[in-house]
Amino acid sequence: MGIKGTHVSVGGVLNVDGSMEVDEVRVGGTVEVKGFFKAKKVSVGGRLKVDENASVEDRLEVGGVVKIGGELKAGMVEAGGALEADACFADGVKVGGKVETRRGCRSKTFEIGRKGRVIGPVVAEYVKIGRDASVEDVYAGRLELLENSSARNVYAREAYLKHGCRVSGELLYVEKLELERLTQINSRKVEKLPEPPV
Amino acid sequence: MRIEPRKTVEIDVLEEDLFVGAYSTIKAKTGEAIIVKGNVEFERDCNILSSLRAYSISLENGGKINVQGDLIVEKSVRLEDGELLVSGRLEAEDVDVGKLVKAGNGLKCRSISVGGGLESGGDVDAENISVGGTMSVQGNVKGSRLGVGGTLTVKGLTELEKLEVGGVARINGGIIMDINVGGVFESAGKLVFERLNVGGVARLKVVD
Repeated sequence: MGIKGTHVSVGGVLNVDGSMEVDEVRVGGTVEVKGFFKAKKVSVGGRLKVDENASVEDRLEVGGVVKIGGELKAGMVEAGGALEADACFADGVKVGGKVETRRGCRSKTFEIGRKGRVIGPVVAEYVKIGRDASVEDVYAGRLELLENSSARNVYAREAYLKHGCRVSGELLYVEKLELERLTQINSRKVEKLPEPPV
Repeated sequence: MRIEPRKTVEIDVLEEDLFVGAYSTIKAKTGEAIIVKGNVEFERDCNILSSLRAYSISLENGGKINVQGDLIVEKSVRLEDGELLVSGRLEAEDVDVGKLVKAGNGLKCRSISVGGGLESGGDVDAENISVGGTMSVQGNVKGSRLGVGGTLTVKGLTELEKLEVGGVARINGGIIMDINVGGVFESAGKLVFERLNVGGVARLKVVD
């Protein structure tokens, strides 16, 4: 382990050419870690970029963009702009703009903001897709698609779709489906949902 | 003993205090070092062409004290408006120098306070270090508290309880419990810390 500490507070830029393990990180601007990154609590005003895996035990809060080259494991993840990772495993994910994962994002709760975009599968007990947002495949306990949002495939125990929503592929549900007017989908009630990819 | 200004005097061992007049030169009569068991007081600039061991040294007015060898002082070095240039090693209990300290082969003391710059060609071992301007160390730094107003550069490892730098700190890793830097902090080696607080930019580099 290259850099090991307890508390890090930087007004501007924190640049780590190696790996870093700390308890708490607070940076006003940008954090860039060339190796892996392990922390308990992280708050970054601008951008967090980690080349390898990242693990944040408690809360990861970033005003702008989170970009993880490997896997992200975290408690709560909040990003105002975007979250990019090979895969994300978290208690909660709340992102304003865009979530992009190669293997998928698995969490207890998942929320993408208005006009947001999700690339890669989402697996969560509770999923909320904001107005005018788009998502690919969703595996959810309870899914809420807000007005004019869209999904490719939906596999949910319960699904609530507001008006104007679109599901381009299939929507399979187990218990309940609620559709508002003008919502057109290809839905089917099933006994069992397919296994999620992550 | 009193040395008149602009004189060159040879001294071996002196049991009493020594007053050195301005622009004098002193050197060891036999052996490598001058030994003064009392206090040495310099009027102004002085060239010492060998190592010097003394109980304490002080400088009355401003000036430059140049030691061609080691300077080993049992108690204090006080050059309030002066410069201390030691080609070898500097050892004392307390060092207080107004302008500049250069120690070619490192220094060891309980506390050192320098108004301007501190340059060490070797290791620095001091409990408390306070430098107003720039501090540059070719070797390791070991101590409790280090405060530098301007720029700190350490080529070796740094082992401290607390580091406070107003401007830029460039170190090569080590163990520092509490780091406070106003501007830029750079570490080029393995670094262990408890708190890192940087106003501007922190660059932490690890060479495995």
